[in-house]
Amino acid sequence: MLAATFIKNLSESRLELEFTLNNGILVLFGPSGAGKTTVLQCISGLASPDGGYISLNGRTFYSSEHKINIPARLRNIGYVFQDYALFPHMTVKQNAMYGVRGCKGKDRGDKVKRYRLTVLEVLEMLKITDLQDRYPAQLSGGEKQRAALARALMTEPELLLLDEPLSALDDKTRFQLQKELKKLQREWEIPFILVTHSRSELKALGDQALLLTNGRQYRSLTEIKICN
Amino acid sequence: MNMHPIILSIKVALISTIIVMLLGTATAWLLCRIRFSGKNILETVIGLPLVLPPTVIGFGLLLLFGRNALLGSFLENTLHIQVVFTWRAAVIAAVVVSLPLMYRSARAAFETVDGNLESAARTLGASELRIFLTVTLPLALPGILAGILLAFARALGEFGATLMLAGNIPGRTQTIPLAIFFAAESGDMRTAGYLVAVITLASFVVTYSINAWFGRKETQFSRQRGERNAGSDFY
Repeated sequence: MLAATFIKNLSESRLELEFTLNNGILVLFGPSGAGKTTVLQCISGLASPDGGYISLNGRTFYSSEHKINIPARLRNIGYVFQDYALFPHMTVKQNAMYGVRGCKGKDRGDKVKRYRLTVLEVLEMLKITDLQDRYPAQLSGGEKQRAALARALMTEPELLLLDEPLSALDDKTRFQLQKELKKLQREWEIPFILVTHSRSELKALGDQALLLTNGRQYRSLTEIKICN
Repeated sequence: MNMHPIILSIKVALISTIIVMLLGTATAWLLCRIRFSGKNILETVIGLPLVLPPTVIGFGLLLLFGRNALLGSFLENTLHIQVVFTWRAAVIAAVVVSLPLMYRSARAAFETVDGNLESAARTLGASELRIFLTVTLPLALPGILAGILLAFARALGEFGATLMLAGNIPGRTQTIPLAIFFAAESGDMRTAGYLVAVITLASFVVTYSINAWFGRKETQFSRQRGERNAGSDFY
């Protein structure tokens, strides 16, 4: 379970959040500039909140009270960037494998044993097996998105963060990937947090939604059941 | 024909380039990532040899490394390493004048690497060292290679500071530029002309390699990244 209660000062406003997430897809919804990406960065450890508490499955990642701030690389949170951030000098397969070699020693042994899936299985699941030897520059937007998903999933994250994953895609690909994301979440049974400014995506994907609006204070609508 | 200036020049340029490559890349990487007061001053000091007259650099180095200077006497009396009037002095002069070229190329190269890629590597569990070796460095490599070549060419051509710190001792500290100057001054145009041909050819090859490398890289990378590479705007 993800529990997050934190504040973060933005350049012109202040972000205040309080939510918990057990499973399913939480959609972070709001206009551009509302701090949606900042929320993902604080949860993943790429940015530090200015106070509060973040924990995932009992592990405290951030606590201003206890002066805890676990670095991003130890949080085991998958992050799919808005521009995918695929390594341009590596093939799809090398990209997907990058997070696997990150663990060493005993950790690595455990992790390898624990793996449910090999890289080929993940690529197969995302239908990009044929593309494994291609470089990101040779991929379409939808294919890049799948490659970025594969790379994040290969680390077997306990939580997956997706920053506007479908915004750069054409309607057909977007619709297709929407369905697949939903299916993926049901299969992997880890919570997803998905950032979007599109109302249709909110409706199609959200099990829960958190609304971020501009203003001095952020109103949070916690655990609104949209679909279920 | 006396080959000594050529051999000495290559030795001095190679050693100084190795030092500058490590020092310049490490400094550029650090200064890209950390902020501290006085950073601007440090960057200015590193870049100063580009604009200062070589005699000023030579004078400054004499103040540091001279026999009676603080660093010079420590090196000579405690570590028994003589600096002035040896090939080491030529290396030091070459390092100081070529470091800004390496630093600027590396700095520009690191700045073109998308910070999101490093963030992505972080979320994939990579340590900062691994990120540097597997993401930042490979993507910055063209600019870094350009910096290395420029630093080598600059070290090969160093004259003023070398003359002041290392002197002109034939067979010991006389590099190609010094040999050209003193041969021409004494009217030995044949030796001077021969050495001029050697160093011009070497510089041509270095510059041509950079241009050819970037010409190839640009067609490759413009497909891949849609942007020009760092260092290519040096020429």
